[in-house]
Amino acid sequence: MCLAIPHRIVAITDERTCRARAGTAEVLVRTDLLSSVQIGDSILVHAGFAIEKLREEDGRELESLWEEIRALEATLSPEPVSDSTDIPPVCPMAPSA
Amino acid sequence: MSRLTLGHGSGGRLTQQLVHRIAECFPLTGHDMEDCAIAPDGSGATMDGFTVTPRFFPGGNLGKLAACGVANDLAVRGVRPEQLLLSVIAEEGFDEEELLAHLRNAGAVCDALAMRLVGGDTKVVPRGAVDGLFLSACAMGREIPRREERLGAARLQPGDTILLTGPAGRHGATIAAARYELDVPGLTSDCAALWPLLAPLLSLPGLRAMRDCTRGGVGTVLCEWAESRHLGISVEERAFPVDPGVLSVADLLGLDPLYLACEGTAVVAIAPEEAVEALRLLRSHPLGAEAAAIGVVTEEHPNLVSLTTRIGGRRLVDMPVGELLPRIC
Amino acid sequence: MPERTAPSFGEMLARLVSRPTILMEVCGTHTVSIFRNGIRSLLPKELTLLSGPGCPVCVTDQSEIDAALSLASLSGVTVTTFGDLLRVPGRDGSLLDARGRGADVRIVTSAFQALETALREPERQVVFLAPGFETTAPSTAAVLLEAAEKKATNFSVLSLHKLVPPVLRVLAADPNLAVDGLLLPGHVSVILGEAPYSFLPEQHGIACAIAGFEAEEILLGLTELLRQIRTNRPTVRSLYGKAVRPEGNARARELMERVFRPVDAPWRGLGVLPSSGLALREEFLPWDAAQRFPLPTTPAQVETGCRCGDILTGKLTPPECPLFDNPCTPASPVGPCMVSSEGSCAAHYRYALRGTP
Repeated sequence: MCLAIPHRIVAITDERTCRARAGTAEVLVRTDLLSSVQIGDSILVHAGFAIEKLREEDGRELESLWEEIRALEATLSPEPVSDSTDIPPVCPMAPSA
Repeated sequence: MSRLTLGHGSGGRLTQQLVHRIAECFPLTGHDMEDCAIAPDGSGATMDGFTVTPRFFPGGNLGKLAACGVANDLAVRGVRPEQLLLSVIAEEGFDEEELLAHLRNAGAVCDALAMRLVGGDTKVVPRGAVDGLFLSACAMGREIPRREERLGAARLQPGDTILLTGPAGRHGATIAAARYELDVPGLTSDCAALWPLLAPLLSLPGLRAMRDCTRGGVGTVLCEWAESRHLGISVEERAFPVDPGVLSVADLLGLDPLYLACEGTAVVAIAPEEAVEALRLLRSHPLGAEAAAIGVVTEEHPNLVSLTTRIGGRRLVDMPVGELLPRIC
Repeated sequence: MPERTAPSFGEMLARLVSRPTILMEVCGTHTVSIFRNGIRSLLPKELTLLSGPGCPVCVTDQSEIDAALSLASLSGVTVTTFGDLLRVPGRDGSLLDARGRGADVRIVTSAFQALETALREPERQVVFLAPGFETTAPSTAAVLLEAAEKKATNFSVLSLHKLVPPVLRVLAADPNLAVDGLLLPGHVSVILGEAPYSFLPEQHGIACAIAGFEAEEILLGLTELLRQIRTNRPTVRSLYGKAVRPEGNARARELMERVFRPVDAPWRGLGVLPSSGLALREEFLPWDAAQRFPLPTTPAQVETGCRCGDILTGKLTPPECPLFDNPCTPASPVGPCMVSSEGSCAAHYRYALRGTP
């Protein structure tokens, strides 16, 4: 529902406008939705408006997710389960489809 | 009553359907749906209309587009462009200096190709009857004799390699950037005469077919080939040469480079054993510096073009429907 | 992100899925990215991935398009719109058709361009059509504030904005829809944060993952959903930390709440959902196109056999719709799921190898 792509601010034009670069394109972007911006900020832009400042990828969050997945995988049988049909459901959360 | 929309002229599915309906009006038809017509004696002819706005864009203008466009339609069928006829329809009030600027550009293209202006027509119509300036061009020439059968989609075979002479979508991206006020330094139209790039390929007996990608882009040409021969075409996303300006415009406006117009980029189908040599010939010319093999013709999934994505998934490439519209969703 | 190739994601998903599992993604941009990257071709067969009502164009009701068309037919009115809405069918054609008949319909890529048009052409009445969810509504709000500040009396907005959490409540409460996990919209979440989704795992046991839009980010989202399901610990987890703050963008929400109030709104194929749309607050009614211009009362919907409502709620997949491909195609669409580039029918038609799910 929302195409939004990263841009980097290259100039502040006034209190609610800046110029920002996406790839090799430079465009005018509105900054009304952010409290403060400066040159060099990486921003996420949707329909001409910056909707958030982008933070550096927090490797720790993703790494802890991968650890959880690895830990889960270690408890599973070595064969991919999906080919067999007689394993009882592990997760009774939802009614069976 | 159905009315024509801009989509009918955009080069994708709607255009294809309209062209079929038009062709049905002519009981005697020699039309094989290729870019130019070739008579039994080897003389080739093609025509095309040019109405782009803005009329000046990075990399060219309407006049250059007109001359290159028709010369390219001949070139891809192995016909040397030799003669040009030009129809000028100008709106009352149009600046004569601008008109001459376009025509000088067309003249420069002709000069470089040794293509001679042999006729034309000029009309000035009341204000509002056309948007500024429309050019129609007809180019004629003679087929370079080859031992093999005539170039064309009919010669495609399973196993043939598909080459792309350069990054897709540069013209369409340039026009879109102008229309939607994007400043993209370095992005220019690929508008160019392809004869000098493609002529050396004619020496390769395994050359099957070539197509000039215009409206509807590379994707449309691949679909047309697949559908005309009831064969499949498989392409690899990672193999496509890319232009960073095209990608930027595509990302910003939500467009697909596969469907953005080209005006100086061709697809080439060639026997697999000659693909390497064909690429060498293409890359030795400045217009083909980024030429690459992007896929193959196959017996699988007849009529369909399948793309293997960057992450190893597979999906269909279909013809675009109507104008390419920017999206925010 | 640790290096993962797509086949290894596919293997991982196959290992994590333990029984037939139904996941739904509720963002049209996810729908497109999934199809364009060929992700469906990598999913294990036990995993069903449905497309939900996350395409704001698809859920724009016919009556809303008819309102836009009636504005476009008024002399002196310029309708400005995102390209997305241009081809959506109303009762008597689309905005594209109206433009072909001479209506002044212009494409913009931002709401501020619509206001600029109004300021530049004071003799025209410029209406901005405003579709979209919480990602887009704050921008419309900002432009309305600017219009008020600049006293742009020839500018107005037709709000078509809708809200995501209400439709998720409807989906979660639907007894005919058994969804194990939801891939949540990354950019709506940039505005809303994580809290509005907590009812999904807490009240309905539905696993939730907020994901970005690159292929690897979506695959990671699906992996996380399966992990939650496999460990029987449904929660709301964001994998889009570079853009989504847990608390969302408060300033954007403030602007949205200052200008708009929630109202009941019609969703195409779903009917009227309570408190699911946005209307202009009283202070901004002078810029409300619905107040400024006479809009038609909705005539009875034309019966077309369109099943978009069932498609949008995951009860039918596109190939299962009796109209799919015949007569409903992108060139001749019957309903919005085939019109919008993000609609699951259009995505399916364009990208899925025919005969594959």
